[in-house]
Amino acid sequence: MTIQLNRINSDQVKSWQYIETTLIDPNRRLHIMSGIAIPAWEINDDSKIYRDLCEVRLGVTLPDFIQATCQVGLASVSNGESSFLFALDEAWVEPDKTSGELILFVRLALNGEDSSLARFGFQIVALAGNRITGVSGHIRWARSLFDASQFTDGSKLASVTANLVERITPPQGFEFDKLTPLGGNAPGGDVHRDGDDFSMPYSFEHLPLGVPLRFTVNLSAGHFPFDCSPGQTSGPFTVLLTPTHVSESVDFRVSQNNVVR
Amino acid sequence: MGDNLNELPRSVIRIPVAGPKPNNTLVFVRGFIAQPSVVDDDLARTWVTFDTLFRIDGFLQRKADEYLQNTRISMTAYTENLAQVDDGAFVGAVDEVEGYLTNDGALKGKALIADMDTKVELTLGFYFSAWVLTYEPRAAEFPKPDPRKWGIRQKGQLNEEMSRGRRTDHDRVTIVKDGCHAEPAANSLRLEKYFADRALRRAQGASSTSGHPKRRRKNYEGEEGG
Repeated sequence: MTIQLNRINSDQVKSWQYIETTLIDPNRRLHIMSGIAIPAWEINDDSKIYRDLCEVRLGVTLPDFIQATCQVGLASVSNGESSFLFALDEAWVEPDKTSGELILFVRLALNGEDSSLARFGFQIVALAGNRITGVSGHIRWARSLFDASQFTDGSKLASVTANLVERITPPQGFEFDKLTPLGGNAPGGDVHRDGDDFSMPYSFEHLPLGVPLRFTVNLSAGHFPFDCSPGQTSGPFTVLLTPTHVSESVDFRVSQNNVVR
Repeated sequence: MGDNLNELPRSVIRIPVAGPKPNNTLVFVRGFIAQPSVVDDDLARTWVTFDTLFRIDGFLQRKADEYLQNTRISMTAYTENLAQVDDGAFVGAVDEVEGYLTNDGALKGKALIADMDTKVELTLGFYFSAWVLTYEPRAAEFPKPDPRKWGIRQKGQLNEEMSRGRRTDHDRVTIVKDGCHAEPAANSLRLEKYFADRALRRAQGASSTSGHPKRRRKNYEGEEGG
């Protein structure tokens, strides 16, 4: 059985640090990812060697992926006074065939009584083209609704969440969309005055390809009137990024008891 | 590893990159995290700080905010060695690690180390590897001396001045600046005289090489030709 981890879950990957750099070659970018994965694999048998595959979803989608290398090493092991074996036999990185998201694969081996291969460190260097997947846009509201002249940092006012959309069809009743946050909100950027409106930008990068996404706005408490709600004003309601359509624009407007869509 | 200079080229690699601006340098750093031996029946978790061999070239404290805003660090850690002198239950772990810059531009790291050993002494060692994206001034970006004040000629400047038929006077006098005396470069004056003579000869219809002893052509038999 494969051990599946996702770096957006801090119980599954610690110390995640990501660098994206543009190279002297203007057509390529280098992506560097580091962290400590937590397979938390335990066995209690020193009579044979157990082997398993660990997959770490890295949350970075590279539509023009070229090449990647990785280094892994044991980070946390334990044993209960028996013969033991801890091993990371093989490691490689591949993009997911559907979503293009990079996945780290590591073959683990473990032996011993009360033995645990709890964590391993990893570092990945990936080369790709310039295109990155993403969704960006603005959140707008009227000055009469909330005068944000005192604010420059929009992150204190609102944030946007990217959600995976899954259509659920129960045996009885109506079908509905289940939203699962991808993890990590995009805080609003700098607040700008735009005529009688205020606006602030947001952006998501490295969103997965080929999966339906929906974006929702979360207003911080204490600023907008309590009966305000954000509604989408432009862009597709459900976003589907593909290798030929890697970015999309989605705008929102906060208004009083008036959901646009 | 310590502070041995020999270790620097083996452990720190600087790579010029284009950005994101203002960053222009990507650095790979590796090293060890020292950890003392333990004999402790209880699981102990401790944050350990450690030095690295990397320090930002040309670090300016007055630009600390810019370094904090733009510098990116990606660091991980692994077990380097693990040894026991006898049978015993143990835990050896580096649970978390992260890099940070000190107030003089050096890269340091801190790691959450966990260890436990029953009965016998456990020896643990970890190593780290890190990538740092930052800004370091390059040689081409350092301010250059003003050629108008110091008699330094730019490439092509001499011919340009000659073609315009005028000379600047400032490289014919001794320049005094900030108490320092700077003589015009003797070589440049000799070169200038040579070009002036050659231009004069050309104007008189003479061969461009006949007037210079080192440029006289020889025929295939080694006899000097006119």
